[in-house]
Amino acid sequence: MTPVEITSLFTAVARGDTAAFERLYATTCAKIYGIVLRILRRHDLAADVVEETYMQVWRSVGEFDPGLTSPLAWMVAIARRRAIDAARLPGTGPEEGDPALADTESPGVLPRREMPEELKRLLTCIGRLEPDRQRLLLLAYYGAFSREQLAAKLDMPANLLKASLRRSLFELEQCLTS
Amino acid sequence: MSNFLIDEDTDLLAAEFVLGTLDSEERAGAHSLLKTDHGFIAMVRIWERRFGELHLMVEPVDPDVQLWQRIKSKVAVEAPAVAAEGEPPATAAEAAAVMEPPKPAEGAAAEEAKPPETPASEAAPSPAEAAAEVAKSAEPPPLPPRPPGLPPAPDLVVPPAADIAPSPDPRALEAIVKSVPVEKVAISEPPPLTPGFPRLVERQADVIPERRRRQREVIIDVVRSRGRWRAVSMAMMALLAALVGLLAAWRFAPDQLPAGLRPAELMMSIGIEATPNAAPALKQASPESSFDE
Repeated sequence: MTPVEITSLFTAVARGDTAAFERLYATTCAKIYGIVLRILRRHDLAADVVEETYMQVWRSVGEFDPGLTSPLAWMVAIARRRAIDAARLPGTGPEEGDPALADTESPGVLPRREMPEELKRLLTCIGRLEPDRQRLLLLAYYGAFSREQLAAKLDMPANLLKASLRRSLFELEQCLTS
Repeated sequence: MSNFLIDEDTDLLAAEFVLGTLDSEERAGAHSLLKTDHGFIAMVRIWERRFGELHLMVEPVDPDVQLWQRIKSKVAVEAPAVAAEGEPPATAAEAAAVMEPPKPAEGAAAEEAKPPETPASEAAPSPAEAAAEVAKSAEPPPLPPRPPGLPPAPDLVVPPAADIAPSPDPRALEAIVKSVPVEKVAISEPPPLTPGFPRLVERQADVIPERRRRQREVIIDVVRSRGRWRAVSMAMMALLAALVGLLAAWRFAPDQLPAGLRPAELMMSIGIEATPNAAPALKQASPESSFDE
């Protein structure tokens, strides 16, 4: 479904149209669930977060501003915020999650011709970072690991990792705003 | 709080908040900034937009079919008392009814689930505004169409890193891209038997009577409050008529008024020393001057 179609579903949902909300769920839930599951690595927690996400979408879809972001990215931002908050609660760390999922942190692939300009630009800028930092940034984004977890995963001292992460973000910002 | 905090540290805090690398304590701090600091809110939005499309590279995973049932039943409780499906509220009364915050029927759990930066009253969409806003922007957003959920055809798959020209080592990105966790997820827990989407069979039956009932309540409320306002306005009219009558009596027939209502008496009763002759003297002066020719 295209962003335009999702935006028109948003319009209907804002009016309280439950059938439109069902269609919105049907077209977006696998994407949202995939993102949340990658962060939480547990199906039960992921389902709870996805439920909260759709309830928030139902209640606040009127706040969506199509001038700022795509409708799916708006939903993803809500879902990621909630998923990361849930991942930081005690007893929800990756060590409690499915061990089969603990070491999996990388995304799938998308044909470049299907990428919107924003994504191409972002990937180009990420590609300009040092290889270790590229990995660090993507690992951080897709797995939403804390710095401490990242340091353990990458076998780096915590302060070095923090400096490296901040440097990457700074360079990324420079590249994206140039 | 204000925009004073727009600096490099705040910018990096916003970036790390969006990226997800803050620990729980730092995240709690960021959440409280999100409630008060507009500069921080703006930065978080900017970083969310910057990273926004990375989600396109995440493989979709079908959730359990039960999940929709859970969401559906919550939505049925919250469904606003809108008029007929697909129609915007027709009258001001309906719009006002819809703008009330959702009924807190799902209890404390849902309250906690809300992010702190969107209190209930804000979270409740105002359909009139929302419709206007989205209608305003019904023009196509900048992104080209794309099927987010479709797995790419194998021969078309190009690891993004391979295309990134200035990357010093494209293999780094590629290596990350290659291991796909979601497949393991699917294997570790088999997908539900009906991966399709459950239809909302009883949706009409569930939602519409509830909606009608609320509409009726709203109408009754409106009629009642209209009655109250009508009574108040009648009382004000009566008071006005009495005052006009009194003024007319003072002007045209001051002698026939009961003593207590005469201007001089009234003024004395509220403590002003009356000069009873002043007004009549003036009154008599003008007729005399006009006849004096």
